Amino acid sequence: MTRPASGSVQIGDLSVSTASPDVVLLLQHAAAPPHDEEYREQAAAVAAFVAASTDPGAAPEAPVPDNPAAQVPAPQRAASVRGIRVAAAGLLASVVLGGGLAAADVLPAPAQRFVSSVLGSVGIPVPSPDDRSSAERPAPSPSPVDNEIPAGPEQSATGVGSPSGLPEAPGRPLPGAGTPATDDPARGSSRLTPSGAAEQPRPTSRGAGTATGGSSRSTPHSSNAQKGNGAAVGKPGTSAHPGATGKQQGSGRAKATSRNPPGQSKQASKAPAKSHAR
Amino acid sequence: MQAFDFGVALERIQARDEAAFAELWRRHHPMLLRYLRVIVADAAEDVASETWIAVVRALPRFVGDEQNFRSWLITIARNRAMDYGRGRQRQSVVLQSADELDENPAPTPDPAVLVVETLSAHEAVDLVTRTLPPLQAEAVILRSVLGLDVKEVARIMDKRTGTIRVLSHRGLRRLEQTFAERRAVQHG
Repeated sequence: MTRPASGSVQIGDLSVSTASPDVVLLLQHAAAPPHDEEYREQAAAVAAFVAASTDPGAAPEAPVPDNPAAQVPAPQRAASVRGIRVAAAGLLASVVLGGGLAAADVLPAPAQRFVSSVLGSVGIPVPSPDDRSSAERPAPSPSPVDNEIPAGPEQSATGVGSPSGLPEAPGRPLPGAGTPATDDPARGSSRLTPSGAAEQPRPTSRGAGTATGGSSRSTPHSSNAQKGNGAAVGKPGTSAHPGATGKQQGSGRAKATSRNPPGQSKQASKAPAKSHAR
Repeated sequence: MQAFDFGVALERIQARDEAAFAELWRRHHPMLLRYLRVIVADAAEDVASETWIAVVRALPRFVGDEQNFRSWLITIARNRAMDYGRGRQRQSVVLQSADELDENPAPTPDPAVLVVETLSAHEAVDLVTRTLPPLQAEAVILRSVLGLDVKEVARIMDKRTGTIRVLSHRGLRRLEQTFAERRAVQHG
């Protein structure tokens, strides 16, 4: 190969205009046409191609390299370690998630029972569905009037009141729970309102006897404001509450017509006070 | 002799034509081997074999022209070389930032033994490899020997195009400097 003059020489896509003639020559040598020696692996490559073409599902085996160090299956080992890490992370996540759900007592009864027993054996208290059925279900906040009335079987139908008839401590309502209405026979019978039905004393129910409560915060006001007999008919849409649609008869049958969506409890607690003032 | 048409060859290869594959292999293997000599030195043939096996497996699904194929081939080869380097716990493939390159120069060969005119292709590649830091040598070989453009080299080396330009430029400057020192020694 003749020595190139210095200057702009194109080697491949690379312009080596500023390179010395030696550099240009060196790169030309490096890019020289192939030598026969470089084709000696052709037979093995074609054999691999044939093997792969014959049975595409079977990966052709790599020729055993001359250098034993090249046989180190580094990618396989890395994949194995990665798999173990993924599995461990998944296990940890499931334990944390399951424990959290169990602690929140939202798992189905069998699962809750299982988790409770397992974690209880290691000293971590987790509520059990058995405990729940016996005593843990809190009752709605009773008003002074409410305490006079034994809880009836209807109460449990609301899913809000205490099925076991245990009164909830005043001032400790369940979020979104319905408020027991007054149940004084003299004032009309009381029923637990549907969960968060958020019935309010309405202008049309002056003197009417039955009220349904929103949240238990409004209970004292509700019960005081709605003493008396007769019917309180709530007109849908007349309430300050968008969700108040119930029609309550003064005879005491309060029908569960809606549930109080979260966020309506505050409204419910304010409105009865107004009514009481009137 | 009929000119090589990559599209036709690819169709034949995907129809399991051995001759077409052999032709493709002969067109690309020598340059692949030279590139691998830069990044894995003595294991170049082993890594090249593994590269072609991977290519054979994936070739039925390949879509693109010959330039795309060359970039794809080099990318596979580089990945295999890096796996090999990890397996050997060696720094044959050294991933350095461009800023570190000048701080870790490769040992400069003795200028007295440089006889550029008589070098074979492999010797020329080896000289580039021994003279330049790894990334500079790789960039120079990919650009000048394999004829890849800056964008392709950047994608293969997972660098920015500006970094590739800097690496190539610095590599050429270092080669110039090496030969200049050699001439200075020769001329006394």
